[in-house]
Amino acid sequence: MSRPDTRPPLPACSPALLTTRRAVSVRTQVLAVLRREWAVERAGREVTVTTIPFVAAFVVLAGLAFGPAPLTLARTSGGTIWLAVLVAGVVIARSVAAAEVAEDSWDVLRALTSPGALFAGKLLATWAALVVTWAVTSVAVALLFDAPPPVTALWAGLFGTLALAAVATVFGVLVATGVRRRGLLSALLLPAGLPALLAGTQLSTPAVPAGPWAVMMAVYAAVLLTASWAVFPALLEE
Amino acid sequence: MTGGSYDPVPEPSRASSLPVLELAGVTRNYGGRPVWTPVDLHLAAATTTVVTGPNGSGKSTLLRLAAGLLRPSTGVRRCAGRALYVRGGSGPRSAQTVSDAVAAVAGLAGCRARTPAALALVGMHGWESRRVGSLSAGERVRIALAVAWATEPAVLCLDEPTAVLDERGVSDLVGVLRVMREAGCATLVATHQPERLLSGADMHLRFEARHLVAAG
Repeated sequence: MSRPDTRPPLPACSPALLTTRRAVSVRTQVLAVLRREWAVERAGREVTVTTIPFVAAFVVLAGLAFGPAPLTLARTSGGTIWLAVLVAGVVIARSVAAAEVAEDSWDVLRALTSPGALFAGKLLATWAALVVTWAVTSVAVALLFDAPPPVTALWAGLFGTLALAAVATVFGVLVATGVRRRGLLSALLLPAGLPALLAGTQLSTPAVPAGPWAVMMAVYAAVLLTASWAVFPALLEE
Repeated sequence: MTGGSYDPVPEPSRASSLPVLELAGVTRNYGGRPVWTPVDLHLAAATTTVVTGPNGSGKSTLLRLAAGLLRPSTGVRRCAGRALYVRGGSGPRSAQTVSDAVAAVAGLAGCRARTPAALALVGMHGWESRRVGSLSAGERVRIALAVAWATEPAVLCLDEPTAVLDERGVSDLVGVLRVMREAGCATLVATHQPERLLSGADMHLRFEARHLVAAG
């Protein structure tokens, strides 16, 4: 059954519709990419409905497996948080480019934004998703494990998620734009995220000396961010 | 006119003599073999060019290359301004409403404010709150055209826009192409159904045996 045609007739050509083309700054493009990412997530909630139930189930199952001894729960709380964040990162990485390619919107993004702006916008959106995932997981672990994280966990949450966001952005594009690479996302992302898992776990576990792990996390984030920024433009070329 | 070389503007009196896209001796290899013989193509502002040819002849490759999405294997591409490639109804995300989807993409080009006018142009005024995913393929093409107009490209490459359009959709497409041309956009359209589009076109190019030649 065809739908009634309710469209108004095509308007006549009007000079008022014609405007001069304008240059768009990189900052404006970055904010536009970020705004678009959030608008798409707000409309579809794809990342939210996949990651939040996952980390909730993960934390509950980990608590059942490691509990009920309080000391064991405290010792495993940091590892539980970062393992959940790392695995959730694979799901979040899919939203970087795989969903865009699947919906034929990747070419438009590439055409309308500079590589730097596209990288920065996607990176910030991925970082925000990972920070939210980390925060939700940390709160859930603190409540269910009765193990409040130390202050140094904030450092890990900031830099560890930034490092993971950088690799998720790069690998998300790398995997999505190659037909033969579509199954490789977890195989690439999980090993690359192991330093974040290791340092994040130490920084989130009470009574562990934080200094060396904090330095390692910051250096790891800086290296990944720089490398990702450098290689990203090459990933956009066909 | 030999070797895939074309005069840029059929009508010198037009205000369209400003070249916005130049492909000089470009080829694109797949599996080590060029898709077509080297192509020289100059597109002037405010022109519409229709490209036809059999499946697999390289129409989409030419359009993607013209839009800057593909790097030429040989030759040079020069483009004065923004180039946009649109395949069918591509561009907007299906989870968003029509208005949000067009605004989100237009925002990338700093043209968010043009969203209402763009939707009116393609006859989608009143459809703002519908989800893109609930639209038919033809309606999605209209949204893609709205995006194309809103983002003010210097070069617009439309890949098979007519494949899913009904009679009125094709008429509206012709109208949008006319508006784009008046706005100074150089449009390159690949299609298997060129009949309706040729009336408003400045050039008709056709792939024949791996050569891009002037048709008609």
